[in-house]
Amino acid sequence: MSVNQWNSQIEAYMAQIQLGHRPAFEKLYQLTSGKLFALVSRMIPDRDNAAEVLQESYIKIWHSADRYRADLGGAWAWICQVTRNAALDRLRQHSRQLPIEDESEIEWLVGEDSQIWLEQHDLSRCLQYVKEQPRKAIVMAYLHGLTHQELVQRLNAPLGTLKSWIRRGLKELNECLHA
Amino acid sequence: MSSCLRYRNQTIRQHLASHYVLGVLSRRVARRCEAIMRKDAEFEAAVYEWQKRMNQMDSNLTPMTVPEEVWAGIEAKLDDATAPSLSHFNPLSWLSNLTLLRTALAVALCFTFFTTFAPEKDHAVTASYVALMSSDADQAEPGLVVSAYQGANPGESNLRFQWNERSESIPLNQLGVIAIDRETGEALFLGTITDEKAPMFLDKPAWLAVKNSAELLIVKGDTVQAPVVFRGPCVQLEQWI
Repeated sequence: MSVNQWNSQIEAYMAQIQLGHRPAFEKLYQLTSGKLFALVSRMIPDRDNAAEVLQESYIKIWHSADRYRADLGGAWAWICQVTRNAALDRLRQHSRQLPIEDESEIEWLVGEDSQIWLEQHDLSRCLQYVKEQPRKAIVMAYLHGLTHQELVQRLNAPLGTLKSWIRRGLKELNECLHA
Repeated sequence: MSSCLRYRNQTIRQHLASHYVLGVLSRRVARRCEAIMRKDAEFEAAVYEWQKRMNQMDSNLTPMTVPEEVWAGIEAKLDDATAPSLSHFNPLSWLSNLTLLRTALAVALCFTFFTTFAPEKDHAVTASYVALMSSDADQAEPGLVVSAYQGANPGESNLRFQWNERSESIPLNQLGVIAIDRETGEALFLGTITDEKAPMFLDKPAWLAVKNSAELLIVKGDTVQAPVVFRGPCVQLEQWI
């Protein structure tokens, strides 16, 4: 299944879920749960905790499906946001050990020869305009759900500087994507 | 400036939307953002825009095997939420159900009487076109049948919707119907279903679109770009003489 077909299928399932169609919800689960589990596990490495968060996420998707606006954006992005929010809530409730032992994924994602930047041309091109430290802070916060304080420890920068990196990095990203 | 007006400033709106999607806001501020999204369409649109941008980083996720108990847990929680509770038992509603049952029985008796003793027509009216609609390609059997009946006069032709009894039905009202032209592939919006139990009457161009269609679509919305809920090939039926 191509990426476009996959996205269209998710859109169709979401449209049916908004009408309360349980079989479509089960199919959505079958289609997306493996990827969403990977997304949650990136933020919460403990398998049992990640499984609980995944379960909560799908229940939220079912109950808040009517809030999804197909006219504003893709269903997959919305589903990922609901899932990330559930994972972030779990992380903020429980103090955690910084989960990232292997930074290779981040290095790869912020590196100039990353494949994602070839496939996702807009974000790739624009992130390259952002300086390396802000870029790294943005990617680490998004992928692993790190707080400002956790990023401070990770990147060895004062809190004010770190916040300013993120603020400026996102602003530059916005300007570039709108250009 | 009050706090609820502040976020209408474009710079602050962009700042909040981007930080919300990035996930670096405190829980309290994130919940506040969600409340604002429900009231302010422009702020909601800004959040969706950032979701779309940042979601590109999720495009390379390699699926992981999910523990089986996750789906079992979801089903159990959803079933718990929908199961009727004994505490809601209301004898009056039971009585009203009994009244409904009596009314239904009376209607059924009248129907049997008229269909048994009414004079038989020369021939039955049959559908001219039928589309077997599925929600996806892997569905074992179609969930819904759309039948197109040609009327004697313009404006009398109509579509009728019937569920497969073995499938779970969903409300069709307010969903749109689209015909895909057999030769050009062009999508033509036929109209919105207002009462799924009643025929949906078609004007002449809409009827011609059904006649020339390769496929019918049922969509969530009233444009040809709306997400597809059901689709199925449209076939022409030979008439019984």
